[in-house]
Amino acid sequence: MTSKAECELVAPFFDAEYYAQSNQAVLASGVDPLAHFMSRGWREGRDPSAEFSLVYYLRMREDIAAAGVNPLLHYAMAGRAEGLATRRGMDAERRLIESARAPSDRGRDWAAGGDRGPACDASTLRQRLADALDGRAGLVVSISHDDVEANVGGLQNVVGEERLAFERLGYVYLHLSPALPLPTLAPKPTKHPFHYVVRAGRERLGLAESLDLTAILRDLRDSGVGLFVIVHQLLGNAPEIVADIAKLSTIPVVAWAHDYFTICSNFNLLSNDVRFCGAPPTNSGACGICVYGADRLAERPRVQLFFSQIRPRIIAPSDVTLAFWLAHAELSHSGAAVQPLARLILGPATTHGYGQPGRSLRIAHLGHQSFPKGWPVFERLAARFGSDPRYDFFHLGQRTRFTGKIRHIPVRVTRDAPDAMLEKVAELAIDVVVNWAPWPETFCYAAHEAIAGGAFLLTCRAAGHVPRIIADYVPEQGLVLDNEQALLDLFEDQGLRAVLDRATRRRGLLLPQGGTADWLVRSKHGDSQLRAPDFSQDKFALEAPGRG
Amino acid sequence: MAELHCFTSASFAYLDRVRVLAETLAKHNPNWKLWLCLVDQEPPGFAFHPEQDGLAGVVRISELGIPNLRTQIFTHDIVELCTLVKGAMLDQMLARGADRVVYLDPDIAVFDTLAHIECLLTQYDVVLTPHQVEPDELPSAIRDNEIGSLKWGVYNLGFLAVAGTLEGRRFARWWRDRLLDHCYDDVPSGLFTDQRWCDLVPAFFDGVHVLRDPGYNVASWNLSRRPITIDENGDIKAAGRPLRFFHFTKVNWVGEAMIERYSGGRVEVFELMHWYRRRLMVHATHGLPKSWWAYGTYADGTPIPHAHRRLYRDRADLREHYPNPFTAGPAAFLP
Repeated sequence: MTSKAECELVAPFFDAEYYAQSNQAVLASGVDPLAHFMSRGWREGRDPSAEFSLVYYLRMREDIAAAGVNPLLHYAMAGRAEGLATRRGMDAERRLIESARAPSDRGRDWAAGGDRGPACDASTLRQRLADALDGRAGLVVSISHDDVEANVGGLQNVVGEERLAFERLGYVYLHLSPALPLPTLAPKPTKHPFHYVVRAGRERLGLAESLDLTAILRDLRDSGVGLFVIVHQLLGNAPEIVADIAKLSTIPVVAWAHDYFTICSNFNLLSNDVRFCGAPPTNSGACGICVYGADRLAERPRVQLFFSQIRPRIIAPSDVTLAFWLAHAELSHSGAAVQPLARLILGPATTHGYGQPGRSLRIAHLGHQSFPKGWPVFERLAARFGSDPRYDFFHLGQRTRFTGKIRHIPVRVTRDAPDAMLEKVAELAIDVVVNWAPWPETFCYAAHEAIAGGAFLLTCRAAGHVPRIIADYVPEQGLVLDNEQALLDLFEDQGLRAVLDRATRRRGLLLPQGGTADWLVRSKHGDSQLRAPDFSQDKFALEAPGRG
Repeated sequence: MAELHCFTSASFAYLDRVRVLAETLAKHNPNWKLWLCLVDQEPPGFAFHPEQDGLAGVVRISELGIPNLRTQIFTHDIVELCTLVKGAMLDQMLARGADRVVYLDPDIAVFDTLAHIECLLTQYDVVLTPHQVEPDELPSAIRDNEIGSLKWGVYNLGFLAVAGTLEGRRFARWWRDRLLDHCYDDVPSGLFTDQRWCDLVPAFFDGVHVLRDPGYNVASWNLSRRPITIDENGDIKAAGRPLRFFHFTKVNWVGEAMIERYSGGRVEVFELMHWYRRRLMVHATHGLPKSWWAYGTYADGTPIPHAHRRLYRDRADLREHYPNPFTAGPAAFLP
């Protein structure tokens, strides 16, 4: 029997909400989680909190395991005083390493998916494209890794905005994505056909066999239709097929660096999903111990061949990304430019400062609970300061895992509600957003949304584009720290409050941009914001893709 | 580059490790020929193809000229026997004309060229790597590492390089002889297999070099002073020096707990460890019964407890009365 005294001893280390959430199937309604844990849960290996791993604790103390003692009770009575750890160090990072798999391996799991519908008849496709082009200025052919109308994400947003912009300018926007999405390049084309999902505008025309599609586009081009090929993403594509299509472009092809996929199939450049690698040589020791190393080595020549054949204009969504790509990609290209995915328009400083009187500072993580978005650091911050009355922790976004002491606020950004996140940041009067990407983010919507929502932005030097947002837009509404320890130190003493007292709160708007269309317009008019010296001799004209 | 002969010692249970060693050695040191000293026999139906495993050849324990072999096998457990053969194998390789011999434990993986070892063997007769090459500071690290070295030996015998010189051969003969008589895990008696013996080597022999470069023989017992980092060129470093080889001792949660203790909050060493685990999976040995060791059981399959081995070792009368201790049945030693 468990005594009341024993329950009182372990209670400070027991997280009833965590336990209830983690054991919904076995906890009958009305059963007290702590009573369940003390009577049988610990024997069944059910962890008492996210911070206490029974398996780990017993492995570290085999004597306790042999004695059959309740590990949490031992911790409360002795282990804590002895300084015993309750969870293995760097658990989040080590789990990532342990679960990391080569994309070529993961791709086998994807093989059963995809769109396996019959390919559209070539003559039908030809006719539908001809109909769509009737009276239009030209044809934009945009290629990415998935069906942008069926999926949600930053790249899909940009393609959507780009389509609208081109359509407003009188162009037909044809989007091609692999019928079978993959986390790698598609296999080299062989006798097996490669199918694209084809959309003209938002309308799904169906599946098209790549040879048919290439022939139709060639005929259109030869009949005088202006073609402009934009490669948003090579992922899931066979670069040899994309090159065949790109060669039909009547003006120089544009290839986007939305991420670092052209450098490595880990497009975040996170070695073993956990450490920013900086894109070392493919034959380096680092690539040798990385699950992505062999795939990178195999895919690299195909990507190089594509770039040497096409020599596209590179567009990156931020200057940090472009600089990194130029320094590390080592791929042929004929020019490079920056085109932000959205622009932050800031209002005047408000009179409302941070930290409303009478309540704790509100600290939030926006978006995915993933390592590339810095979730483990936020989780550790919340674990350490979750009981500190000075702070309340929030997660705004779609919840994919239990958040413990972090209050979850469901937020879903969609095409119909693009401002849902920044509006929620403002509505909740979030004081601080912690954005701790461990890699140089190419374009971080969440950081923009944080600032537009009026929050103070805390980030790390490694986050690439995010520190530049602070430097460029809001030097008084953000702080860049060197490492996680500096973040913990800031929360530990009165440092954060002092920083916020000196800060200025502004709110703003996030204006979506038109992707390549926007860049073309800016290029033509020589917009001073365009950082593209290589385009000074550009003979692009917006009219270039037109007929004749 | 001239060939250099290298060997490792293992039973079939470590064949996956041997394969990773062979693979990584061939990648960085293609002129090194790896031999396996096999301390085991194939289970029925098990096909062993050394050439497919990247081995230059296999020398079985029975081919080393070890006197009273059956008794030697019975009186040593698997770790003791796999270390006992190292002296005899080294001695035999040098006797047969190898001008340089390097030993590497099967649970080592090579990450860079070892050409410097070849250079050292032109200047020295014996090269040893200490477990630690600088003092620790934390009390727990002093206990784990420095006191550990005082118990188990100053030098880690996962690595040894010997030149075929007179002094090198004198060392090999001495080591062989001592191991044939005293290769036991008996720390209270001052013995720890082949390893404690080598504490005497700098005193007994000339031309001994203590290799203190932190890139060689990195393991949990020296990680506290040799943080694993990876630089912007993708070069893996230990204490800022190129990582030459890592000794993946105990690829289980015990070994990982030690690595965690001394990881210094860095993830690179865990990347290294999981790379090694993945390679072991790639090179997994198929068709081997679980816990197989040909010398681990009596003839009827009953496991031989350590106490039986010890008893047989200590009692001359038993050895005389039961010349084949592996025998099972009414007339057997099996107590």
